[in-house]
Amino acid sequence: MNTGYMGQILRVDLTSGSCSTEAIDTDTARKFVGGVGYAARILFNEVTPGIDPMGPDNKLVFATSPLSDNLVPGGGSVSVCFKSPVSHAWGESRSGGNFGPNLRRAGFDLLVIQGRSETPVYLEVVDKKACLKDAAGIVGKDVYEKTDIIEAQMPTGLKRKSVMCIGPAGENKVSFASIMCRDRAAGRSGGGAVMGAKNILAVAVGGSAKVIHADKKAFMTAVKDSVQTIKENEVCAWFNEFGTTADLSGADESGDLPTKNWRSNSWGAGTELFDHFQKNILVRPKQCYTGCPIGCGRVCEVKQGPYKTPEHEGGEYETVAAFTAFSLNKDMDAAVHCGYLCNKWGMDTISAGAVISFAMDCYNEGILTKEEADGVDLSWGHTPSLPVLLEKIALRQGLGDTLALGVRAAAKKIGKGAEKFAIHVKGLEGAAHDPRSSKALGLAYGTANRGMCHIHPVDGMSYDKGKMDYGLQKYGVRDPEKVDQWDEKGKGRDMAILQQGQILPDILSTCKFMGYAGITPDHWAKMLSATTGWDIDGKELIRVGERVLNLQRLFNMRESLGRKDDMLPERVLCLPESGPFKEEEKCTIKAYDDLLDEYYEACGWDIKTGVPTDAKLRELDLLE
Amino acid sequence: MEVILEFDNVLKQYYPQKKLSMKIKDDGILLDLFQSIGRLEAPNLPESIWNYHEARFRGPVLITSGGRVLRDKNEKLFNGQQIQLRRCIVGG
Repeated sequence: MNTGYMGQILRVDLTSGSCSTEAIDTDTARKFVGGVGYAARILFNEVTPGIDPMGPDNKLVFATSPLSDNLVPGGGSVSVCFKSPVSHAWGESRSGGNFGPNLRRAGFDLLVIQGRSETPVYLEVVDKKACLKDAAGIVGKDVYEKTDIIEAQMPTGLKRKSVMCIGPAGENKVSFASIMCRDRAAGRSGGGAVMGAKNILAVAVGGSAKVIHADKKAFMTAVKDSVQTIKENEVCAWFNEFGTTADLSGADESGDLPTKNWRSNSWGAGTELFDHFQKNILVRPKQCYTGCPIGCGRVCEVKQGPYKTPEHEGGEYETVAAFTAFSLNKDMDAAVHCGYLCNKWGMDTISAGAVISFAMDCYNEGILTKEEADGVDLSWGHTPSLPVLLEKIALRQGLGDTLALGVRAAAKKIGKGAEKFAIHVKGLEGAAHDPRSSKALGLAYGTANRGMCHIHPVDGMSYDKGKMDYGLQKYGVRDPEKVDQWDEKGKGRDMAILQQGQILPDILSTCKFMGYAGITPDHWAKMLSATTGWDIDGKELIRVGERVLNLQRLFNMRESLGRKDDMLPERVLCLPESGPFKEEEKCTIKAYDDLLDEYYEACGWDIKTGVPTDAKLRELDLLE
Repeated sequence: MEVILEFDNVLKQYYPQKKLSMKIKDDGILLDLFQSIGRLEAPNLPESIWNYHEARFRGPVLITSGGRVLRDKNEKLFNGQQIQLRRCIVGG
C-alpha cells in the first residue's frame, strides 16, 4: 500500500520488550479499511476466545484509517479496540484530539500491543522508530502530570506529537478506566484497565511522515466539499454555539434524560443546569483537534466554591448528565468538577456516574448500609458524596473497590437483589439517553457490539426524534420525518441499515458528529477513493460496515454471547416512576422481542439465536 | 416592520404552522423582537422554553438568519427578514 495508508503496522510485545513492523495487508484493507474494521480483523484472528481481558493474551489495537488526517472532517480521532474487561466481549472506544494523525505522522496506520511488561513502561514512537521506556518515574501520577512529563521528554523540535495515557484508575485496573488524550478520552469499555494490566502507562507518538494521496487534487476537492456541507448545516452551528451540554435541556424535556438510576426519563432541572453552565462555567468553545469545522468542545472552569476546578475541556453532555440526573445532584459546579476528576484519574465519566447512581439506589433500597458505604451518605442528591466516591473508586478503597468492577460485577458481588438496579447491556453501563422516548435507541442499546452505548455504532434517537437520516434513505432507511418516535414496528429494519451506515466513522476513525452535520457515506467514499486510489462508493462502504458489524458480532458469539445478551434491562422497558411521562403508555417498550426478531431478520441472522447465518457470512466474504 | 419567524426541530411542536409573522418597531433590534415574543407569544410557550421575567428563551435556542447565527441583542433587523429559531436533538 503506497497511497492513502502509511503502509505499516507497528507491533509491540511487552513480554519480550520487542518491537516489529509489518505491512498493511492490501486485501484486509479493502475489506475492512481501518479503525474498528481493521482492528476487528486483527482481534478476531489473534485473540483466543475465553482469554482473560486483563491477562497478557489480550491485545490492544490503536487504529487509524486513510482519513485520519487533520484536513478531513473529524479526522483527528483514533480508535482503540480490545477485549473488554467490562463486557468480556468486543471493546472499542474512540478518542478525539490529534493522536490519530500523529500516529500516522510517526509512520504507522496501526499499533498492536500484546503481552505484559514486568515493570511499568511507556512507548514512544517518533518518525518510524519505536522504543519502550522506563515509566517508574510516572507511576501514580495523574493524567495531566503524565502527559506533561512525557511530552517534555519527547525529542525537541517535534512539532506534531500526542500522548495517550492512563491515570491512577487504569494503574489500579478500574474496569472502566479510560485512555486519555489529555482532556479527550477513549473512555468506554475499559481500555485503560487493559493498559494498566499490561503495565504500559502511555503511548507517545509524533513525527513528520507524509501520506501520499492517489489523487491529491480530487482529495482536496472532496475534503472541501465535505467541509462546506458541514459549515452550511444547522447542527454544526448548534454544536458550535452550545456544545453537547445543550442536550441537558432538550433531553430533559423530551423524556430522553435517564434520571435517578433510570427510575425516570425526565427530571425538570436540565434547562436550569444548562443555563448555569453557560452563565458561570463556560469559558470558550474549543476544537478537540486542529482543523475541526464544528468545534463542539468547551473549555470550562469553576471559579470558586467547594467545587473550584481549573480550566479544562469538559462539561460534555454525557458527563454532566451522569453526574446530575443519574444521582439527582442539582449542583452543576460539582458535576463539572467530577468530570475533571475523571479526566485527571482516567475514568469513563458515563460508567463512573452510573456506578455511583447504582450505589445510591442500593443504599436507598436498604441493600447497602452506611457502614458498607464506608460512612458515605449515599442519599439521592447528596452532592458531596460524588467526588468522595470517585476517589474511592480510582484508588480502589472500601466500597470503591467493589464499584470499580462496574455495575454488573459489583451487583453480583453485593448480591441481595442488587442485580435489578444494575442498568447495563453486555456489562456496559447505559449512557445518558433514554430509549423509552426513542424505540430505535432501545434497539441500538440492545444490539451494539460493545454494549449499552448510545453512539457506537449508531445514535438511534437522533434518527427517531432528531429526524436525521445520515444520508441513508437512499440505502433503505425510512424517512425519519415519517417515523413516529414512539412506534416500534419497522425500527428493526431501520436499525440494521442505520448501524451499517453509521459505523463508518468508527471504521474511518473519524468523529461521529460529522454524520450529524450532513456527512454521508457518499462523502466518506469520495475522500477515501481520492486518497487510496480505490473506486469505492457509498454502497460498497456500507457493505464494509455490515461486514465489520458481523465480524464483531462473531467475536462476541465466540465469547458465548447471544440473543440473551441483546436484551434490555427491565427498568428501561417500563413506565417511568416519576416525571411528566409517568402515565404515558407510549413511553414503554412493549414488544422488544418482536423488534429484535425484525432486526435479526434484516441482518440475515438466525432469529432464535442471533447468530449470523452461513449465507450472510458467505455474502460478506467472512466464511472461512 | 415585520419579521418572519420560522420554528424548527423541537420548537415546531409549539408552532405547527412553522412560521409566524411578528411586528416590531421600524429599525428594531433583536431585543425588540424578544420583547414582542414575550408580549404576544408567551402564552403559547411553555415555561421550559421562555423565560418570562427576563424576556428571553430559556435553555438553548439557535437563532439564525441568512445562514448566520444572531447573538448580539443589539443587532438591527430589517423588514421582511426571515429568522430561524430551533432547538436540536442530537446525541452527545
